Amino acid sequence: MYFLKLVTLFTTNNFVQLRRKWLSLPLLLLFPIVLMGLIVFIIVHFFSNLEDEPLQIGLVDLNQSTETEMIVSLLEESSQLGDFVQMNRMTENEATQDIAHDELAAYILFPEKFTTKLYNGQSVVVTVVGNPKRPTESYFIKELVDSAARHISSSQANILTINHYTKQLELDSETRNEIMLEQFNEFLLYAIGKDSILDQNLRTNNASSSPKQYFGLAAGFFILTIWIVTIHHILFKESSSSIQRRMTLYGVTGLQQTIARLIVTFLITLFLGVLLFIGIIKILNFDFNSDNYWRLTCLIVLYNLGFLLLLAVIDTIIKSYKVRLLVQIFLTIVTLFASGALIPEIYFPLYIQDYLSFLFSYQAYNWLEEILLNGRLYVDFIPLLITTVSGFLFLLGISSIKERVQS
Amino acid sequence: MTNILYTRLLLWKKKWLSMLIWLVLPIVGTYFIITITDSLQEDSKVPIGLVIEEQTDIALQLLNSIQESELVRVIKTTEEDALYRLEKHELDSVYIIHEGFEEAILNGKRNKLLSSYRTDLSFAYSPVKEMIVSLVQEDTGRSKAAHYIIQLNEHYQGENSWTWEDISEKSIEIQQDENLLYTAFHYNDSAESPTETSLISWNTWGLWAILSVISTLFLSDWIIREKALAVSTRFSFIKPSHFTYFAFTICIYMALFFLFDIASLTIFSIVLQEKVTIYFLVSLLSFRIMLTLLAFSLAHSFKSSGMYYGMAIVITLIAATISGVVLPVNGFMLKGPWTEIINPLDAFLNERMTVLWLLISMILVLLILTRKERSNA
Amino acid sequence: MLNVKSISKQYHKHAILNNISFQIKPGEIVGLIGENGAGKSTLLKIIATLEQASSGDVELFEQGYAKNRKALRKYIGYVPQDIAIWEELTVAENMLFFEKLSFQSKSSEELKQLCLDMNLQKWNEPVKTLSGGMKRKLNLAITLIHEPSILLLDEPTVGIDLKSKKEIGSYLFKQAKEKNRMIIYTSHDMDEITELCDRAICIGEDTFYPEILKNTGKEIISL
Repeated sequence: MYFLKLVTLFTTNNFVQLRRKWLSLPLLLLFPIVLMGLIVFIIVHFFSNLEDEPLQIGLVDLNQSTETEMIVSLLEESSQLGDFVQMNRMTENEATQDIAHDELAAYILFPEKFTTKLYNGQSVVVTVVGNPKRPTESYFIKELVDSAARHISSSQANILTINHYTKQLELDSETRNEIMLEQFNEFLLYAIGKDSILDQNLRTNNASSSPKQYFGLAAGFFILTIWIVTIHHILFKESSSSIQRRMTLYGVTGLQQTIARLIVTFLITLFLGVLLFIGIIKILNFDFNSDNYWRLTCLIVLYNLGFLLLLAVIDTIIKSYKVRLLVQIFLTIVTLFASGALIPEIYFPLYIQDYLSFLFSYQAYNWLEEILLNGRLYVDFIPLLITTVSGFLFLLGISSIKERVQS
Repeated sequence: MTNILYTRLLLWKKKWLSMLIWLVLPIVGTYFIITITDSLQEDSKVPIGLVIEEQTDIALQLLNSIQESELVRVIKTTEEDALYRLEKHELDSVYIIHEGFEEAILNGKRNKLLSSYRTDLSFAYSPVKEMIVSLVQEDTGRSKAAHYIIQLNEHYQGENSWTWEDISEKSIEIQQDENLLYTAFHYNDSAESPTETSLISWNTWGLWAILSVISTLFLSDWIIREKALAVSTRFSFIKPSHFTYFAFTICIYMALFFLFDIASLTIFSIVLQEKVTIYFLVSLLSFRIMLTLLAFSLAHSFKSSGMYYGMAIVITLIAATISGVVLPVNGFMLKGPWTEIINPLDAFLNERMTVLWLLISMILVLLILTRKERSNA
Repeated sequence: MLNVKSISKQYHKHAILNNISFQIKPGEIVGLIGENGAGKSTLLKIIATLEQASSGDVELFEQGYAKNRKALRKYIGYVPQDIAIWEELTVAENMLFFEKLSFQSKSSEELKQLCLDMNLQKWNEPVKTLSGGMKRKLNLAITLIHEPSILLLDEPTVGIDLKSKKEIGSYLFKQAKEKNRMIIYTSHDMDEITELCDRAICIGEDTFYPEILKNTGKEIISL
């Protein structure tokens, strides 16, 4: 009973503390929203820019043979290498200068004697020269060229095979050369028309049928998480050692203060979180079953608790304020990554995927997706509940060990 | 100067461990982020669904080759299940090998042998598609060549009895013996090719710059701490003026930071093969001076270190966002002279000397110090 | 020679000090008394150049503060009420730290002797392990590094044991009489005032302190 009385005392005290910061609080709560807005703006801008302005790629032909000429004009005319790519023939000097002026993402260099070597079975290197200011795009182009090279090299094997067999037919060299040039053409076109193998279909899923809702949910999850860290951080005020000593005399343990802080942050972020998600549901027009409101609330409750317990454990273990802050930021980033809100979990290595399902953020986000995006009317709370309870027990254990060590 | 250095060293001695942690944070942090994402990327496989409608040799062979690829993790299933899982985004994309696949290959046909399904979320669709297409293309191309040779033989009435199988084998042999077309990649400004290009390729110095922002801000908290201590009264009765004392102390911190910057440079050039040029060294130095001065100006305007740390984190997050270190904004969004005006990190990230913000930071510090001097007089 | 000439100080139109004037000669010890909030610390800070008077001026060796504020600081030693030392450093490091920044350089031996004179022997101990009395002594010792001509002490002996108090007191007495220094200090301990001071200056309207000192025969100036 005494325990609870003290917890209540500190809880009220924390509320009073928070009320004193009423002016800076809205600013702090606004910050993650602004940050998410900035990120969304940049990403949207990135993609729309990519569509408006295709990547400029230079083609430099040092060989100047009929065959390379053909390759270059083919590449120039078609957009076979990708929709976002625009290729232009130029000299090596021009290409270098354009890269220096940041007008070119990369250029592809066909070396001297390219054709002759190819026919004679000598090795040839096609070089991609990237723009150091645009590493991501350069990588993209390198991939495209690699895939083209794979096709050309299998075509080359076929041409060499044809060469091998035609030599055994009694043909004059002119005819044979003609046949070779014709087949080179043939296989080049064949390589470039590779995509006809596939009948490509686009399906809709959560993201494509309602990208706004998909990303809205992820953004909401991010904002809630940052709010929790922020409010928790505001409430953590160092008390001097003399005050700490006085507290001990009154029988106050660190755990009571931790729990009080936890309760205040929890209540506030729960309130804000539910408001936030209802706002997201209304603004982005989610098709949301009203039966799901209590499930949503429960999920936010459990996620909040889980995350706060994690922060509380760090508070208990690490003494240095700065280091604690760093570790908490780091764990926040890990929590967000592991939730799958940023990168869907299927792209993680299997050994990580195996553990993800034990993580509260993954469990919470997964079920949020289920009820909000897939319209399910069921949530399995048990795993999340188990994680939260074990988190609480862990905090109890750590605090009691710490208390014992200190006394 | 030596006297001020001596007093600073006395204070540093007592907290060298915590200082060291913050000083090496940019180096260690950058290294770990790069190596961890690299190894995660290497270990990640894209889950794809594969549906085989016929159990022929060529079809199974294709399945084998796909399964052997490092890029994907193949889940063999039915079309219905595959598409369901694709919609739930448990699979990145789905490929269906249609009935009549072998026959089409043998006949040298290739149109629509496979169907693919993807969604807007299929981030890995493009490379996976390319890989599968190139595998199928090898088969169809070979078949095409074989048909052509047999045709040629008939056309010129050669007496050879070449079969489809013989020619295919020969083609495979040639391809294996003489894989002759290579591609090379390097950046315009260096002859060396990067050891490995990958999709998430961190900008090493960009990452380092962001971590340096937070470490410099956190290490500049001495200004707030020492201002709050009772000992600050004593600084009115010292021989150096306030201006000299603070200017020198900032320089000492700058030198310490730069020492660790040089260490970062050395380590990155050895471990991560980053190149070092004199110009880069100069731009690093200008960046460091600017960062130290800005951190001082910021810390100076705070009374409570808790608020200051919070602000430091907010600033770091914003810097990370708008600098394009985490997001792919390079070369797309933030272009033009105004980016340099709003983002102090911009010049350094574009491998230029920091000039504008260096001037701004110097003016700020000069204003603060002269005001301090006057209020003290 | 310190000459305080009709000093007044207001904070937000609230008068703290009102037209205060007095003089102190070298070798003289003056006690500053008055109830809490009467303005003792403010007066001390003004004399220490740390705050500026709203009106009036102070002269030290016939040089006015208004014009020579900075130049005069090397003659002034100020011991703040809060213990102004580096808690994480040792006694030796604290002394060395301020010696390096001091107007006057001193050898390590001289610094050590300075501490020993005050019976502060724990040369290599970290400050945070010292007793309150020791800290007060160090607080004073640091101020004396640059050998100030006038010593201003804000409750230098508050909250410490009697022995340390006596040690500090007799040390201050010696400083004034042997080295001809001017000393002004505030205290609530009337025994100490009676014992050490040549004169006492009482600020504020309360007559409580002057009443106590009346029978001691000390010169009391009520301002």
